[in-house]
Amino acid sequence: MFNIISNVNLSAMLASVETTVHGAANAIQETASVALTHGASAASEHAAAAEKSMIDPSIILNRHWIASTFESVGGHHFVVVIMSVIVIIFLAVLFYLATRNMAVREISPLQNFVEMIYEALDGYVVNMMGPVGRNFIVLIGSFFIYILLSNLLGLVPGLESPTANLNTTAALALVTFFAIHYYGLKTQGLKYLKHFAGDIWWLAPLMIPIHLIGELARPLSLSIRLFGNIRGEDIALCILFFLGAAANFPFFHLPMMFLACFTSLIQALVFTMLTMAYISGALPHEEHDHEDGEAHGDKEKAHIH
Amino acid sequence: MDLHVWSVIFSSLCIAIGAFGAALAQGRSIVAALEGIARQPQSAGEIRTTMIIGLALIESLAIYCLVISLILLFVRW
Repeated sequence: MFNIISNVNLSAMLASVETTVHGAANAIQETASVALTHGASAASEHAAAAEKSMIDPSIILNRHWIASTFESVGGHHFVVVIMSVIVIIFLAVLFYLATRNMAVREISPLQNFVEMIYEALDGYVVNMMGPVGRNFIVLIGSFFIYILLSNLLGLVPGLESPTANLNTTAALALVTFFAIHYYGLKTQGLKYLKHFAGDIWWLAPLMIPIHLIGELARPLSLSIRLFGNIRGEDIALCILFFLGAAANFPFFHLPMMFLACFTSLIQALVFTMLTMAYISGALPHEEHDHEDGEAHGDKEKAHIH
Repeated sequence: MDLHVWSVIFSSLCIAIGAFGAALAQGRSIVAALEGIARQPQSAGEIRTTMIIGLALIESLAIYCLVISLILLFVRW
Protein backbone atom coordinates (compact mmCIF):
# COMPACT_ATOMS: atom_id res chain seq x y z
CA MET A 1 0.00 0.00 0.00
CA PHE A 2 2.72 2.45 0.95
CA ASN A 3 4.50 1.48 -2.21
CA ILE A 4 1.65 2.82 -4.34
CA ILE A 5 1.26 5.97 -2.31
CA SER A 6 4.94 6.79 -2.41
CA ASN A 7 5.06 6.10 -6.13
CA VAL A 8 2.12 8.35 -6.87
CA ASN A 9 3.44 11.08 -4.60
CA LEU A 10 6.86 10.90 -6.19
CA SER A 11 5.48 11.10 -9.67
CA ALA A 12 3.19 13.97 -8.69
CA MET A 13 6.06 15.90 -7.23
CA LEU A 14 8.33 15.58 -10.21
CA ALA A 15 9.06 19.04 -11.47
CA SER A 16 9.33 19.14 -15.24
CA VAL A 17 6.44 18.24 -17.46
CA GLU A 18 8.30 15.60 -19.37
CA THR A 19 9.47 13.74 -16.34
CA THR A 20 6.06 14.08 -14.75
CA VAL A 21 4.38 12.57 -17.73
CA HIS A 22 6.94 9.85 -18.09
CA GLY A 23 7.14 9.25 -14.37
CA ALA A 24 3.39 9.13 -13.88
CA ALA A 25 2.89 6.68 -16.68
CA ASN A 26 5.81 4.63 -15.43
CA ALA A 27 4.68 4.76 -11.83
CA ILE A 28 1.17 3.64 -12.68
CA GLN A 29 2.49 0.99 -14.98
CA GLU A 30 5.02 -0.18 -12.46
CA THR A 31 2.46 -0.39 -9.71
CA ALA A 32 0.15 -2.27 -12.03
CA SER A 33 2.78 -4.66 -13.32
CA VAL A 34 4.46 -5.03 -9.96
CA ALA A 35 1.02 -5.64 -8.57
CA LEU A 36 0.36 -8.27 -11.20
CA THR A 37 3.68 -10.04 -10.79
CA HIS A 38 3.60 -9.77 -7.03
CA GLY A 39 0.07 -10.96 -7.03
CA ALA A 40 1.04 -13.86 -9.22
CA SER A 41 3.87 -14.84 -6.94
CA ALA A 42 1.66 -14.36 -3.90
CA ALA A 43 -1.00 -16.45 -5.55
CA SER A 44 1.52 -19.17 -6.34
CA GLU A 45 2.67 -19.10 -2.74
CA HIS A 46 -0.89 -19.43 -1.63
CA ALA A 47 -1.38 -22.29 -4.03
CA ALA A 48 1.78 -23.96 -2.79
CA ALA A 49 0.63 -23.48 0.76
CA ALA A 50 -2.82 -24.82 0.09
CA GLU A 51 -1.78 -27.50 -2.41
CA LYS A 52 -5.38 -27.85 -3.41
CA SER A 53 -5.79 -26.01 -6.70
CA MET A 54 -5.39 -28.04 -9.84
CA ILE A 55 -3.65 -25.35 -11.84
CA ASP A 56 -1.07 -22.96 -10.59
CA PRO A 57 -2.84 -19.58 -10.81
CA SER A 58 0.43 -17.85 -11.46
CA ILE A 59 0.35 -19.23 -14.99
CA ILE A 60 -2.63 -17.05 -15.75
CA LEU A 61 -1.07 -13.80 -14.72
CA ASN A 62 2.53 -14.67 -15.16
CA ARG A 63 4.60 -12.82 -17.63
CA HIS A 64 4.87 -13.91 -21.16
CA TRP A 65 7.42 -16.38 -22.50
CA ILE A 66 8.76 -13.72 -24.85
CA ALA A 67 9.12 -11.46 -21.85
CA SER A 68 11.13 -14.07 -20.05
CA THR A 69 13.30 -14.40 -23.13
CA PHE A 70 14.04 -10.70 -23.11
CA GLU A 71 14.17 -10.39 -19.35
CA SER A 72 17.90 -9.83 -19.47
CA VAL A 73 17.60 -7.17 -22.16
CA GLY A 74 14.94 -4.81 -20.98
CA GLY A 75 12.96 -6.41 -18.25
CA HIS A 76 9.28 -7.13 -18.58
CA HIS A 77 8.40 -3.75 -20.06
CA PHE A 78 10.12 -4.76 -23.24
CA VAL A 79 7.46 -7.15 -24.50
CA VAL A 80 5.00 -4.32 -25.13
CA VAL A 81 7.50 -2.63 -27.38
CA ILE A 82 7.99 -5.82 -29.35
CA MET A 83 4.26 -6.31 -29.80
CA SER A 84 3.82 -2.68 -30.76
CA VAL A 85 6.63 -2.96 -33.29
CA ILE A 86 4.98 -6.07 -34.74
CA VAL A 87 1.79 -4.10 -35.33
CA ILE A 88 3.67 -1.13 -36.74
CA ILE A 89 5.75 -3.23 -39.12
CA PHE A 90 2.69 -5.12 -40.30
CA LEU A 91 0.80 -1.90 -41.00
CA ALA A 92 3.79 -0.27 -42.67
CA VAL A 93 4.42 -3.23 -44.96
CA LEU A 94 0.71 -3.55 -45.78
CA PHE A 95 0.28 0.08 -46.71
CA TYR A 96 3.61 0.25 -48.51
CA LEU A 97 2.68 -2.73 -50.67
CA ALA A 98 -0.79 -1.33 -51.26
CA THR A 99 0.35 2.11 -52.33
CA ARG A 100 3.51 1.12 -54.21
CA ASN A 101 1.97 0.78 -57.65
CA MET A 102 -1.17 2.82 -57.42
CA ALA A 103 -3.34 2.65 -60.49
CA VAL A 104 -6.58 4.18 -61.62
CA ARG A 105 -7.70 1.56 -64.10
CA GLU A 106 -6.50 -1.89 -63.13
CA ILE A 107 -6.62 -1.75 -59.39
CA SER A 108 -4.80 -4.46 -57.53
CA PRO A 109 -6.85 -6.28 -54.85
CA LEU A 110 -4.65 -4.92 -52.11
CA GLN A 111 -5.12 -1.34 -53.25
CA ASN A 112 -8.82 -1.97 -53.47
CA PHE A 113 -8.85 -3.26 -49.89
CA VAL A 114 -6.91 -0.28 -48.56
CA GLU A 115 -9.13 2.11 -50.47
CA MET A 116 -12.12 0.44 -48.91
CA ILE A 117 -10.62 1.02 -45.45
CA TYR A 118 -9.88 4.64 -46.30
CA GLU A 119 -13.35 5.29 -47.63
CA ALA A 120 -14.93 3.74 -44.56
CA LEU A 121 -12.74 5.90 -42.29
CA ASP A 122 -13.50 8.96 -44.37
CA GLY A 123 -17.22 8.39 -44.07
CA TYR A 124 -16.87 7.78 -40.34
CA VAL A 125 -14.87 10.94 -39.68
CA VAL A 126 -17.00 13.16 -41.91
CA ASN A 127 -20.16 11.78 -40.36
CA MET A 128 -18.85 12.66 -36.93
CA MET A 129 -17.05 15.97 -37.45
CA GLY A 130 -18.46 17.30 -40.69
CA PRO A 131 -16.34 18.22 -43.72
CA VAL A 132 -13.73 19.76 -41.40
CA GLY A 133 -12.90 16.23 -40.30
CA ARG A 134 -11.04 15.55 -43.55
CA ASN A 135 -8.10 17.46 -42.05
CA PHE A 136 -7.90 15.03 -39.17
CA ILE A 137 -8.41 11.79 -41.02
CA VAL A 138 -4.70 10.96 -40.84
CA LEU A 139 -4.66 11.24 -37.05
CA ILE A 140 -8.00 9.58 -36.45
CA GLY A 141 -7.49 6.83 -39.02
CA SER A 142 -4.07 5.98 -37.66
CA PHE A 143 -5.49 5.78 -34.17
CA PHE A 144 -8.33 3.56 -35.31
CA ILE A 145 -6.26 1.12 -37.35
CA TYR A 146 -3.48 0.90 -34.80
CA ILE A 147 -5.79 0.41 -31.81
CA LEU A 148 -7.97 -2.11 -33.60
CA LEU A 149 -5.00 -4.17 -34.69
CA SER A 150 -3.34 -3.97 -31.28
CA ASN A 151 -6.54 -5.08 -29.57
CA LEU A 152 -6.94 -7.99 -31.94
CA LEU A 153 -3.29 -8.99 -31.55
CA GLY A 154 -3.98 -10.12 -28.01
CA LEU A 155 -6.36 -12.79 -29.27
CA VAL A 156 -3.60 -14.58 -31.17
CA PRO A 157 -2.01 -17.22 -28.95
CA GLY A 158 1.55 -16.34 -28.08
CA LEU A 159 1.10 -12.64 -28.62
CA GLU A 160 -0.04 -9.89 -26.32
CA SER A 161 -2.02 -6.71 -26.90
CA PRO A 162 0.14 -3.60 -26.78
CA THR A 163 -2.95 -1.76 -25.59
CA ALA A 164 -3.25 -4.07 -22.57
CA ASN A 165 -0.48 -1.98 -21.10
CA LEU A 166 -0.90 1.46 -19.62
CA ASN A 167 2.25 2.78 -21.29
CA THR A 168 0.86 2.37 -24.79
CA THR A 169 -2.57 3.75 -24.01
CA ALA A 170 -1.11 6.66 -22.07
CA ALA A 171 1.07 7.51 -25.05
CA LEU A 172 -1.95 7.44 -27.36
CA ALA A 173 -4.00 9.55 -24.96
CA LEU A 174 -1.19 12.08 -24.63
CA VAL A 175 -1.11 12.46 -28.41
CA THR A 176 -4.84 13.17 -28.26
CA PHE A 177 -4.38 15.59 -25.40
CA PHE A 178 -1.76 17.66 -27.18
CA ALA A 179 -3.63 17.46 -30.48
CA ILE A 180 -6.75 18.96 -28.88
CA HIS A 181 -4.92 21.99 -27.54
CA TYR A 182 -2.72 22.35 -30.61
CA TYR A 183 -5.68 22.51 -32.95
CA GLY A 184 -7.61 24.70 -30.52
CA LEU A 185 -4.80 27.23 -30.30
CA LYS A 186 -4.08 27.01 -34.01
CA THR A 187 -7.61 27.68 -35.14
CA GLN A 188 -8.80 30.06 -32.44
CA GLY A 189 -5.62 31.68 -31.23
CA LEU A 190 -5.76 33.13 -27.76
CA LYS A 191 -9.55 33.07 -27.83
CA TYR A 192 -9.22 29.38 -27.13
CA LEU A 193 -7.74 30.14 -23.72
CA LYS A 194 -10.62 32.48 -23.00
CA HIS A 195 -13.16 29.71 -23.04
CA PHE A 196 -11.51 28.19 -19.98
CA ALA A 197 -12.79 31.16 -18.02
CA GLY A 198 -16.39 30.36 -18.82
CA ASP A 199 -19.12 32.73 -19.90
CA ILE A 200 -19.58 34.77 -16.73
CA TRP A 201 -16.46 36.72 -15.84
CA TRP A 202 -16.88 36.75 -12.06
CA LEU A 203 -17.17 32.97 -12.00
CA ALA A 204 -13.77 32.64 -13.67
CA PRO A 205 -11.85 31.74 -10.47
CA LEU A 206 -14.24 28.84 -10.05
CA MET A 207 -14.49 27.81 -13.69
CA ILE A 208 -10.80 27.81 -14.58
CA PRO A 209 -9.81 25.04 -12.13
CA ILE A 210 -12.89 23.04 -13.12
CA HIS A 211 -12.03 23.31 -16.79
CA LEU A 212 -8.38 22.50 -16.15
CA ILE A 213 -9.29 19.41 -14.16
CA GLY A 214 -11.72 18.41 -16.88
CA GLU A 215 -9.02 18.78 -19.51
CA LEU A 216 -6.56 16.74 -17.46
CA ALA A 217 -9.15 14.04 -16.81
CA ARG A 218 -9.55 13.42 -20.54
CA PRO A 219 -6.25 11.64 -21.23
CA LEU A 220 -6.59 9.82 -17.91
CA SER A 221 -10.01 8.44 -18.73
CA LEU A 222 -9.07 7.70 -22.35
CA SER A 223 -5.99 5.73 -21.40
CA ILE A 224 -7.46 3.91 -18.42
CA ARG A 225 -10.61 3.00 -20.34
CA LEU A 226 -8.69 1.36 -23.16
CA PHE A 227 -6.18 -0.29 -20.82
CA GLY A 228 -8.81 -1.60 -18.44
CA ASN A 229 -11.04 -2.94 -21.16
CA ILE A 230 -8.34 -4.80 -23.02
CA ARG A 231 -6.54 -6.02 -19.91
CA GLY A 232 -9.79 -7.16 -18.33
CA GLU A 233 -10.77 -8.92 -21.52
CA ASP A 234 -7.42 -10.70 -21.69
CA ILE A 235 -7.62 -11.76 -18.06
CA ALA A 236 -11.15 -13.04 -18.55
CA LEU A 237 -10.01 -14.98 -21.61
CA CYS A 238 -7.12 -16.47 -19.67
CA ILE A 239 -9.30 -17.45 -16.74
CA LEU A 240 -11.91 -19.05 -18.99
CA PHE A 241 -9.21 -20.86 -20.95
CA PHE A 242 -7.66 -22.35 -17.85
CA LEU A 243 -11.08 -23.13 -16.44
CA GLY A 244 -11.84 -25.09 -19.60
CA ALA A 245 -8.48 -26.82 -19.39
CA ALA A 246 -9.11 -27.74 -15.76
CA ALA A 247 -12.54 -29.13 -16.56
CA ASN A 248 -11.30 -31.02 -19.62
CA PHE A 249 -13.63 -28.96 -21.73
CA PRO A 250 -11.67 -27.43 -24.61
CA PHE A 251 -12.80 -24.25 -26.36
CA PHE A 252 -14.60 -23.14 -23.24
CA HIS A 253 -13.32 -19.65 -23.93
CA LEU A 254 -14.65 -19.52 -27.49
CA PRO A 255 -17.73 -17.36 -26.72
CA MET A 256 -15.50 -14.95 -24.85
CA MET A 257 -13.27 -14.89 -27.92
CA PHE A 258 -16.14 -13.60 -30.06
CA LEU A 259 -17.03 -11.07 -27.40
CA ALA A 260 -13.39 -10.01 -27.33
CA CYS A 261 -13.39 -9.43 -31.09
CA PHE A 262 -16.47 -7.27 -30.64
CA THR A 263 -15.09 -5.25 -27.73
CA SER A 264 -11.82 -4.72 -29.60
CA LEU A 265 -13.73 -3.02 -32.38
CA ILE A 266 -15.92 -1.11 -29.93
CA GLN A 267 -12.96 0.18 -27.96
CA ALA A 268 -11.19 1.36 -31.11
CA LEU A 269 -14.43 3.09 -32.14
CA VAL A 270 -14.85 4.67 -28.73
CA PHE A 271 -11.30 5.97 -28.55
CA THR A 272 -11.44 7.59 -31.98
CA MET A 273 -14.97 8.86 -31.42
CA LEU A 274 -14.01 10.57 -28.18
CA THR A 275 -10.90 11.99 -29.84
CA MET A 276 -13.05 13.45 -32.58
CA ALA A 277 -15.55 14.82 -30.08
CA TYR A 278 -12.78 16.50 -28.10
CA ILE A 279 -11.09 17.94 -31.18
CA SER A 280 -14.31 19.24 -32.66
CA GLY A 281 -15.06 20.76 -29.27
CA ALA A 282 -11.80 22.68 -29.48
CA LEU A 283 -12.45 23.88 -33.02
CA PRO A 284 -14.13 27.27 -33.37
CA HIS A 285 -17.21 26.40 -35.40
CA GLU A 286 -19.27 24.95 -32.56
CA GLU A 287 -19.40 27.99 -30.33
CA HIS A 288 -19.57 30.35 -33.29
CA ASP A 289 -22.50 28.41 -34.63
CA HIS A 290 -24.19 28.88 -31.30
CA GLU A 291 -23.46 32.59 -31.11
CA ASP A 292 -24.27 33.06 -34.77
CA GLY A 293 -27.50 31.19 -34.28
CA GLU A 294 -28.45 33.54 -31.48
CA ALA A 295 -27.41 36.53 -33.52
CA HIS A 296 -29.39 35.28 -36.50
CA GLY A 297 -32.31 34.64 -34.23
CA ASP A 298 -32.15 38.23 -33.01
CA LYS A 299 -31.90 39.48 -36.55
CA GLU A 300 -34.82 37.37 -37.60
CA LYS A 301 -36.82 38.68 -34.68
CA ALA A 302 -35.85 42.19 -35.74
CA HIS A 303 -36.96 41.42 -39.25
CA ILE A 304 -40.21 40.02 -38.05
CA HIS A 305 -40.83 43.04 -35.93
CA MET B 1 -8.98 -11.81 9.54
CA ASP B 2 -6.02 -11.67 7.26
CA LEU B 3 -5.60 -8.49 5.24
CA HIS B 4 -5.43 -10.53 2.06
CA VAL B 5 -8.87 -11.99 2.73
CA TRP B 6 -10.27 -8.51 3.31
CA SER B 7 -8.76 -7.28 0.06
CA VAL B 8 -10.33 -10.19 -1.86
CA ILE B 9 -13.75 -9.54 -0.30
CA PHE B 10 -13.66 -5.83 -0.97
CA SER B 11 -12.29 -6.17 -4.48
CA SER B 12 -15.22 -8.40 -5.37
CA LEU B 13 -17.60 -5.94 -3.70
CA CYS B 14 -15.98 -3.08 -5.61
CA ILE B 15 -16.44 -4.61 -9.04
CA ALA B 16 -19.92 -5.86 -8.16
CA ILE B 17 -21.23 -2.48 -7.04
CA GLY B 18 -19.46 -0.68 -9.86
CA ALA B 19 -20.87 -3.03 -12.48
CA PHE B 20 -24.31 -2.69 -10.92
CA GLY B 21 -24.37 1.06 -11.19
CA ALA B 22 -22.88 1.11 -14.65
CA ALA B 23 -25.35 -1.50 -15.87
CA LEU B 24 -28.30 0.51 -14.57
CA ALA B 25 -27.03 3.70 -16.17
CA GLN B 26 -26.26 2.03 -19.48
CA GLY B 27 -29.67 0.41 -19.53
CA ARG B 28 -31.36 3.75 -19.01
CA SER B 29 -29.34 5.45 -21.71
CA ILE B 30 -29.97 2.66 -24.21
CA VAL B 31 -33.69 2.78 -23.47
CA ALA B 32 -33.74 6.51 -24.09
CA ALA B 33 -31.74 6.16 -27.30
CA LEU B 34 -33.98 3.38 -28.60
CA GLU B 35 -37.08 5.45 -27.88
CA GLY B 36 -35.55 8.33 -29.75
CA ILE B 37 -34.68 6.11 -32.71
CA ALA B 38 -38.17 4.61 -32.73
CA ARG B 39 -39.70 8.07 -32.83
CA GLN B 40 -37.32 9.49 -35.39
CA PRO B 41 -35.69 6.75 -37.42
CA GLN B 42 -34.02 9.27 -39.74
CA SER B 43 -31.79 10.54 -36.93
CA ALA B 44 -30.66 7.06 -35.94
CA GLY B 45 -27.02 7.69 -36.90
CA GLU B 46 -26.54 10.76 -34.72
CA ILE B 47 -28.34 9.19 -31.80
CA ARG B 48 -26.22 6.07 -32.10
CA THR B 49 -22.90 7.92 -32.09
CA THR B 50 -23.93 10.08 -29.16
CA MET B 51 -25.17 7.03 -27.32
CA ILE B 52 -21.91 5.19 -27.87
CA ILE B 53 -19.93 8.14 -26.50
CA GLY B 54 -22.18 8.28 -23.48
CA LEU B 55 -21.92 4.54 -22.99
CA ALA B 56 -18.14 4.80 -23.12
CA LEU B 57 -18.14 7.51 -20.49
CA ILE B 58 -20.42 5.46 -18.25
CA GLU B 59 -18.44 2.32 -18.85
CA SER B 60 -15.21 4.00 -17.83
CA LEU B 61 -16.59 4.17 -14.28
CA ALA B 62 -16.99 0.41 -14.26
CA ILE B 63 -13.50 0.11 -15.69
CA TYR B 64 -12.14 2.25 -12.87
CA CYS B 65 -13.79 -0.15 -10.46
CA LEU B 66 -12.17 -3.04 -12.33
CA VAL B 67 -8.74 -1.40 -12.10
CA ILE B 68 -9.17 -0.70 -8.39
CA SER B 69 -10.31 -4.23 -7.71
CA LEU B 70 -7.34 -5.58 -9.68
CA ILE B 71 -5.03 -3.43 -7.59
CA LEU B 72 -6.75 -4.67 -4.45
CA LEU B 73 -6.41 -8.25 -5.60
CA PHE B 74 -2.88 -8.33 -6.90
CA VAL B 75 -0.95 -5.96 -4.70
CA ARG B 76 0.78 -7.91 -1.98
CA TRP B 77 -0.65 -6.20 1.08
